[in-house]
Amino acid sequence: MVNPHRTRLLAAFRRLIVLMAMGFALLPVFWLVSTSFKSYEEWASSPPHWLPQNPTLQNYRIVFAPEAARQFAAHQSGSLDYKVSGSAWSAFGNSALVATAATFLSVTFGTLAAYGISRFRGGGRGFAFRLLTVRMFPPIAVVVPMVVLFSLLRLTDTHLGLILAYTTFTLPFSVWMIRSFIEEVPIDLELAGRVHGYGRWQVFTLISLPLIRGGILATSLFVFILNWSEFLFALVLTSGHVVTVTLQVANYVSASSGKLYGVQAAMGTISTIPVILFGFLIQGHLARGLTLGAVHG
Amino acid sequence: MCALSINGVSKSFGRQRVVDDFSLAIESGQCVALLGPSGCGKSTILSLIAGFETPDTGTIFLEDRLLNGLPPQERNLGLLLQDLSVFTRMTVRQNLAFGLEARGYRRLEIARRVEAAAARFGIVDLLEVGAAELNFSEKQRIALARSLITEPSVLLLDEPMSSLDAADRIRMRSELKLIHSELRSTVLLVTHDQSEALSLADLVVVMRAGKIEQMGAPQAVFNQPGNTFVAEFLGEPPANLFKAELVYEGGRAELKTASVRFRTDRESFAASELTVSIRANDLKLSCEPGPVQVRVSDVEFLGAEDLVRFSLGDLALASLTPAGSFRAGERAFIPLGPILGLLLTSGRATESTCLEIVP
Repeated sequence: MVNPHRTRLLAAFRRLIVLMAMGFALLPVFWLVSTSFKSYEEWASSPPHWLPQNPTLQNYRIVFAPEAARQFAAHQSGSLDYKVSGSAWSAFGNSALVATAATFLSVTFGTLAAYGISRFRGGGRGFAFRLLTVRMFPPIAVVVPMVVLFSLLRLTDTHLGLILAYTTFTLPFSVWMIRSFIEEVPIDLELAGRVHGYGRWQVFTLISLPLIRGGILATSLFVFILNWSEFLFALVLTSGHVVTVTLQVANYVSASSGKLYGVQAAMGTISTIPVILFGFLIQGHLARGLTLGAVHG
Repeated sequence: MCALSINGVSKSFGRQRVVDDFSLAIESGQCVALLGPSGCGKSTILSLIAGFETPDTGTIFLEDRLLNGLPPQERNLGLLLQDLSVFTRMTVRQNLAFGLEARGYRRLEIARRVEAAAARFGIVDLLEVGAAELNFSEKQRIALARSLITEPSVLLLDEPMSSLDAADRIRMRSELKLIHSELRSTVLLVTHDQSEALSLADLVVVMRAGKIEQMGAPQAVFNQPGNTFVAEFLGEPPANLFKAELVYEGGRAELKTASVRFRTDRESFAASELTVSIRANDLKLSCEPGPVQVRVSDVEFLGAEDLVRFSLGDLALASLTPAGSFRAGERAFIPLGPILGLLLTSGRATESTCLEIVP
């Protein structure tokens, strides 16, 4: 016999756990946004303020307007490097270009490779798993040989270099994820398509691809997030020309006042916007793509 | 004319030989059923014909075209699979037009054929509906219409009814039968369901382990099974099969098991060791006391009839009786008189015989 009182208590308890988990996940985001509106005095005040006492847009101005950055630097006895502070726009441009291109390449090649692995046993038994091991060892382990290789190929500090590096490191992830979607597509559908008169490529584009579109978009989002927030490769494979958003955040440092937390928070807040927008755009597909078994013909 | 001829085709997966020197010729307009248990190689033969697999040896001809090496899309076949494979992201019209577009028909011709097929299969109202919204029987009609609209040389059916419930199965069976008699298309049906094969096909090919066990008209295969495998596989419920020895007792031929003797009218049978097959509906049971008494061990309710299991001496037998006639544990009697049976020996034609129990 189920006790209704107990059931209600259990439901309330469950809700509490969910709220705690949400708080745990969202608190840093709240702190980021809150700090981005705080004035210089409040960035690291003790005791800390949950909400800015005197909300200001100064941090955002420093990020985007070179003039504001210069004024701030003058006020702080010239400690902010103008060259860095003025290039937030270009940092967003660089990140957008690199992350988008690398995501496109990774998902395109990932889809083709996953299809080959799934349908033609390409690479032999267990190849998909061996591919995944590329993502298992820490990237820092390959950083030194990468730097040597990139300087030999003259790819250091170029967009193409970063795009290639990101594609390489997210490709296994794309393959692995998209493969699981492809394997949900009944092979009979493709066989039927072929008997009806289409070749392999047309069957793939006309029948299979529409069914895994949601999965591909979901994979794109994850890969894009990985690329957009990548720091290590951006740090070691560039030297001042191709500055990405993550590098720019790290660059907001002043000689006199240490890390410019407010400015970093403003930059961080803005940098979440493209990812959130992308997420909203493909929201419909996301739920579908993440629910395996939703692609049945 | 021969619509499809398969000549000495073999196929192995790894070390396992799935199809073993298989040959079959299908006449134009014929409906042929490949019947056998799962794993007998029947679906692999279908894949070989369709071009999803390549034969290790042997040739396949469609009309007079060699199929070996041709990709599936160039073979001009129709295919209906177990899960129907209706493209759910498309409308019914797009599904029907799919094969015609692939073959490069003109728009007007496509529209004309789609309309005609829709009229024939009673799906005119559904043409603009998304295929995902259809129920199973509608999907079925669409899949069938789609596979016939391109006028394929041979229509391949791979267990088309195995996922249906009993009522839908009977409906689809009659639909397929009607279409086949109407269009006189050549059909190759792959199934493990004997009632499907027997009711639809002009020629039944019983397979085991990649080889043909027996082939012939449904009646011939059913009534004259060529060997014990076919006798066991065909017939629902399975026939009573037991080994017996042919002996001559006082000038009369008798079939003897360890503890039961049957008189037989077949006196000149070459082999002395044979297998006797008696169908459950040929073996009667009665409550009228008689000299042959048995005890009912189990009763299986089949609807209109009961399958009554009992033992007679060393033999475990089953009989079909009107429902409710017997209960487990009860006594029953086998009436004296002729029982229709089959005598099977390896390498020889099956003969029918009248058997009589010697009390």
